[in-house]
Amino acid sequence: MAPYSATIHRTAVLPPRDTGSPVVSRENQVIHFHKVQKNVDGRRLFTDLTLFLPKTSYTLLCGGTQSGKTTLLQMIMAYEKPDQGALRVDGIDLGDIPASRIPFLRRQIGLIAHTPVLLEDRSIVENISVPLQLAGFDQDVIQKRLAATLAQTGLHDEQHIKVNRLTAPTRQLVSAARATIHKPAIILADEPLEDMDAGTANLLAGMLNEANVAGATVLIASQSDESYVQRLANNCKTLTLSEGSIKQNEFEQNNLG
Amino acid sequence: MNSSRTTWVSRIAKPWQTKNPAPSRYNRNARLHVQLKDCFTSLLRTPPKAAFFICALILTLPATFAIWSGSFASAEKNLLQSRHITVFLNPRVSNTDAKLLATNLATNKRIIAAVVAPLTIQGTEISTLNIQPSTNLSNEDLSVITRELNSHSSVDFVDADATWLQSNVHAIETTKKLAIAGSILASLVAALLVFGITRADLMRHQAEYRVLNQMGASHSTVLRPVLLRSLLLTSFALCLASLLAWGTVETAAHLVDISSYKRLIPNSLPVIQLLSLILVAFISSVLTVNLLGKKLLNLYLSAT
Repeated sequence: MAPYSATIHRTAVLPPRDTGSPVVSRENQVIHFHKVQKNVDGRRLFTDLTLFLPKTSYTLLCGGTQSGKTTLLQMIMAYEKPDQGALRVDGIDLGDIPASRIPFLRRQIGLIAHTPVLLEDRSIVENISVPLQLAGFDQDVIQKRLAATLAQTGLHDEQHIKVNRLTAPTRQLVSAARATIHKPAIILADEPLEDMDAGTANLLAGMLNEANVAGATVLIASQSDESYVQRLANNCKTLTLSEGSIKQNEFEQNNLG
Repeated sequence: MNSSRTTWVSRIAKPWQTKNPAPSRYNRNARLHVQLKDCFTSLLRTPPKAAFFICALILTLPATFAIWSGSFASAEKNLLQSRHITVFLNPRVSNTDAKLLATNLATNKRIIAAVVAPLTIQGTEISTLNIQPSTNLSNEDLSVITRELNSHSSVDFVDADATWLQSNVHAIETTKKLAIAGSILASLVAALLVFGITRADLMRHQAEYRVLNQMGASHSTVLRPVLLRSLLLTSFALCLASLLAWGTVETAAHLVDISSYKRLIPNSLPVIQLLSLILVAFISSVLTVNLLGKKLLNLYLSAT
């Protein structure tokens, strides 16, 4: 398997911008929240949220309902901006990122949403290949990647079935395949294993583990860690998001230490 | 989100779907013909049924009006060219005097200025002289010339039957103006319709754009397939419109009895005119889609 950094298309690479925000080991950082504050619907969601995720890290972010896990993922995807503080993703300050640069950022991120949003009237293979098309890969490369991913997920025989006919776990599997096929630098997953049968959950967890081993930074948001700890890789760190800040941040502790 | 529809067009698209499963219309590095093929497949799979035919029908109107206005313009010209002044000579006038009169008329500055066709002398025993007035000569000028000729001793009487012809010309000219106005109006309607179809296409695919946006599609990436689809759709509609326009003109020519005007009004379609018309309509449609559609899409994507 080719290394992740080598497979990101040239148009997907953004030059880092120096905005004067605090930087901790810039070469190593991928996601860095620094004293981020965020209000949603008049409610303070994050109060001085500081989170640092280095490259190739594997993190499980736990938190209760309305704790802000999904908002945190949306901020990394540049759907939301911090009210105060600094947020850098792969060296880019998302506080003042121009709208024209956001698509390039998102091409470096693979998102597995809680409820998969797919192209409903398209087949599995069409859905999975979209990130490769957006990145501008050649058709030969696309076909090879598709074949490998379909073999990995076991969807080869169903590749021409339209996704609106699939069951929820299979849809999530398609979503995961789509999020990982272009080998993004960051993979975000929001409750990816919820309501999944054991076989599919293991398959999906295996895909995430494999992506992490190959060089991707993986961040999984979940309400509880019970169903995950058995399946995720040993190097996975668990953080807890509570009352607007990270209660346990091993990476930051290690870094400061 | 589109629901999958199995129609005869989707069955036609089946081979392309299996051969080219990847949506290469979103790949900016893919060759243009590959993108076009993918857009074509996409159109076949989810064809805009009613909109397509309405578009074609509306596009027919400016084409028909323009062809008719062209026909009326040539009819007006033909009518004006058909005006003749017939000078009946006095039976007592000898051939020598008649030739002298013809020479005088031919060298008369007013007649030379007014007449485009050469003076013709009919018969071995000269009895009539024919003059074809210039097409820009008014009825009043024609009356003056007629009076001058009538006062000549060698002339029995002058038949200038051009007045009713000119009245017909006025009627034709008015009809031509109406046809041009109709053509402009129908063109505007057609442009609005193409814009509306593009807008409907955007709305129909908004869920798809949301997914693409999440995966990092830029506005131009989303816009390109929309424009290509509109381009293909407009091309198909124009082909259909040209056929319908041709049929309308031909049918009208046969329904209305124009046998007496056959020499004046052409009842067959001028192909060059139609082709240039289609070209103009095509370019204007593409420009409409490009300018208005792009603005609309950018607004829509920015809002979402």
